[in-house]
Amino acid sequence: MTTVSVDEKSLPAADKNHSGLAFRIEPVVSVALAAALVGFLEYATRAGWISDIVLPRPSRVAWVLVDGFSTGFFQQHIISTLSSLALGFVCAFLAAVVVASVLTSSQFLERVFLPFIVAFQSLPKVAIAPLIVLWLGFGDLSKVTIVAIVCFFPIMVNTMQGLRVRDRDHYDLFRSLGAKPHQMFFRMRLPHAVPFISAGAQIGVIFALIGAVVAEFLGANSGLGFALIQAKAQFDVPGVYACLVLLMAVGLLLHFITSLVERRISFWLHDQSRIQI
Amino acid sequence: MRDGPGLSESIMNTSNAPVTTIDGGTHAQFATGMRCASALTIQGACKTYKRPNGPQFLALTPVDAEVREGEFVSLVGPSGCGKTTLLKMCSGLMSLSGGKIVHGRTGQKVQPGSYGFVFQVPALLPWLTVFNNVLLPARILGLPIKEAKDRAALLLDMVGLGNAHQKRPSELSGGMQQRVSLARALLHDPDLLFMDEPFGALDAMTRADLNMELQRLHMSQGKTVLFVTHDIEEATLLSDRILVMSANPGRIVADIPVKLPRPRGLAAKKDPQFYAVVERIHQLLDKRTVGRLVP
Ligand SMILES: Nc1ncnc2c1ncn2[C@@H]1O[C@H](COP(=O)(O)OP(=O)(O)OP(=O)(O)O)[C@@H](O)[C@H]1O
Ligand SMILES: [Mg+2]
Repeated sequence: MTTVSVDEKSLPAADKNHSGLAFRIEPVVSVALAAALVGFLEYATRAGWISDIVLPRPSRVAWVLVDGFSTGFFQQHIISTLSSLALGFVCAFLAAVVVASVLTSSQFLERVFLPFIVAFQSLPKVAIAPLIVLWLGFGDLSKVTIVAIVCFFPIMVNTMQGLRVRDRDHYDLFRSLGAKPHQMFFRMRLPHAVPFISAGAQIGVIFALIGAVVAEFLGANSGLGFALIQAKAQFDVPGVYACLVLLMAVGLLLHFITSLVERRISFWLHDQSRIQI
Repeated sequence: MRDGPGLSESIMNTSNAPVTTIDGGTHAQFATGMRCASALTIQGACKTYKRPNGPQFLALTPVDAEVREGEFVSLVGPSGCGKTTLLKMCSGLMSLSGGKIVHGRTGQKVQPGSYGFVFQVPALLPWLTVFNNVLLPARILGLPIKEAKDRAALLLDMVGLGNAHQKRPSELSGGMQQRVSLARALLHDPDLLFMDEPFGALDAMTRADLNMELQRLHMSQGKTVLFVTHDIEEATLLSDRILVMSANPGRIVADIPVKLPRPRGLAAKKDPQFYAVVERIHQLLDKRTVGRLVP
């Protein structure tokens, strides 16, 4: 997704017109498509083409949502999921950036720990979730921990990627000025890593949502995953779908927030990519 | 003595040449005493690049040369003859495979932060504005920031980018980026300048302007400059001495003094001596790259 950014005024008029138009029309088309799909499903379910167990009527799901929100039922679960997710994500983010900084600070450390990183990376992290629940019990603590473990690695691996200096000329420039290691870190390597870190965070936040739901499946007393399991236990198919819709909305929201932040902090990449188009 | 292997042919200027060649009005005070001191002494410096798999590559055979304080020395030669390599070794950015290069006054290696380096590529930081890119040396060296800002503005005016302070490098043309990197190299007012094809991407007019600007800096502040260029006329116009290099293996084949009076303007290009030097370098380069007649 592109945005209208500063250098637009430097583009030729024809280009500006085109990109301006394209920007306004795309979301409208997306929304219209979604509406058409929901409308079609409503028609299909009413006509009896699809069984109620497989797919309840969208209108019924909508009713469940309205009902749930009016009693405060969904708010409570959304807040529960989001707050553990946010806490786990922030812890993982800080830890990942610090660990990546330490590991990339010396080739020795990086080489020693690389096999461990690869080993952990290839392990599906949700597979450790039952163990975490075993250790930390049912509750928010294990939920936060699972979220943190799940999103730690994508952020760390991306950050490490960004912190490795590949630009020989920037490196020479800093050395020619006698820059100290901390100056190299804060003035060159870290800024260079910012786009990588935010790319990692963008993947990480979606992983975090998966982690939170898995944790709620395994044992929790609140959260959207918990609500979903409960609805399932009562054969409340519209309820299950309502939870899925909410999870999708939460995922979209998180993606939207992180890409907004991403665009803010790695603006120079977007400048370049725009010009290259 | 200052030459590379096999250059008995070069016209020598052993004793007092640099002092006599620099005799413009404004810098007369520099042309005394300490002027003769050497800024850089290169003794048998050579470079072999190690390849992870395969034979080593001899990029530069042992080279001897000397650059005196306040002297403007150019390196010319075909692509791949080791100009960048030699420049980076002189500045201490690259290790030597043999020999040594010492800073005249201290007898030590050249200190980081004490010189300015214009790299062959602009090497601007894309996340900083033009102004902050120019200011970078001050931030790293911990110079007083207020004076540095004034100086950055002056330097940007000098390179003709006074109205581009807040732009990002990605919004500049290649030539503009190169000029920013020139301003950056001058920010901390170093006595010693290493310049690797600093004007390579510039149009002829901007190039001529900046040539004059560089000559003025060199003359008025007695800066020592080691300058790489592909443009023989540019080298002749600016230099006190031109080191002609040759590839396969990289070496210095001639050391040619340019004794035209300074300041040299457009008129200098009409001087027969100017053409004699340009001609001579063309010959040397031709022989090396095409005919390979010289041992
Ligand atoms: N990092 C490196 N590793 C291996 N070989 C290198 C490396 N850098 C340069 N070389 C080789 O050393 C030789 C000299 O390179 P150098 O960059 O000094 O040339 P140059 O004279 O600056 O050329 P140009 O005018 O094209 O900039 C070249 O043949 C190049 O292939
Ligand atoms: Mg070069």
